[in-house]
Amino acid sequence: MNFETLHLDTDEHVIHEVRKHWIVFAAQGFGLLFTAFLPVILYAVFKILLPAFVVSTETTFNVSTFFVFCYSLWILALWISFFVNWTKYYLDVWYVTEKRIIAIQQKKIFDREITNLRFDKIQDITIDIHGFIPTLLGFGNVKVQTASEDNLEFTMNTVRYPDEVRRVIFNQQNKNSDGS
Amino acid sequence: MQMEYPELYVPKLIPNIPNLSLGLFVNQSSMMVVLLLFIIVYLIISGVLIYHWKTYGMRSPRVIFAEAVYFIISFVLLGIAGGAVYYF
Repeated sequence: MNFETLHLDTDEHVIHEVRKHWIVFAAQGFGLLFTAFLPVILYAVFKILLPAFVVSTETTFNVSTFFVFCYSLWILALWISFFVNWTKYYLDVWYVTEKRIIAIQQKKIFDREITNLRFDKIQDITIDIHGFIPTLLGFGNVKVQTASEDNLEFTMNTVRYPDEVRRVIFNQQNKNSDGS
Repeated sequence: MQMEYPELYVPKLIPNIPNLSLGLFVNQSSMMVVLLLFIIVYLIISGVLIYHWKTYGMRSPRVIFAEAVYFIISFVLLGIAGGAVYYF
């Protein structure tokens, strides 16, 4: 991977990437999958409730070819939507380096926010794993509080393995404080 | 001599929906217009996605793989839609 766009220092490397759990994206994917079958369901409903409409329409033009045309465009629209969602999911990330956390929030496709958190400014990290499924799959919320005057909070929800995230950040923070 | 009676008017409870005549709107040229409009939208959104993948994707193998899958499946679907217009 090439981290040029992060503008890291020469002696700085990415040691950990924090992303949301795949289940978040999978849930959206299942929603789109259901939507993909919607025209077929509607066609079946039409055929049951208004059979005369379907039969007489079939005589006026080639319905099956028209259906293939509409359905392929429908699937393509969902396909594009799937990749827009994936891009937002994939680009919403925290990079932990030896010196700082680079928090990139990709809220929408044209809404991107990048924040740098120096380890010496981090006051506390809170993780929150709430519920049966998050415990089972190992995802939760990570909240980083800073000791600056503004007392800022940085939160990422549904993070994969939040315990590990906290461990990596604390380890690096300890290393930095031992070194200084 | 046989008398002619006027036809009795029987109101239709359910309108004759097929006579909305989808056939008037659905023809090869209208489908071609829809397909062209769709291709324009597709190109704009794909351009936005490519920009994000190239600028922020950091040449990650996952992004490269996603890009390939996106375009392969998109072209297949566009091909199917184009074929449907051709054979309509």
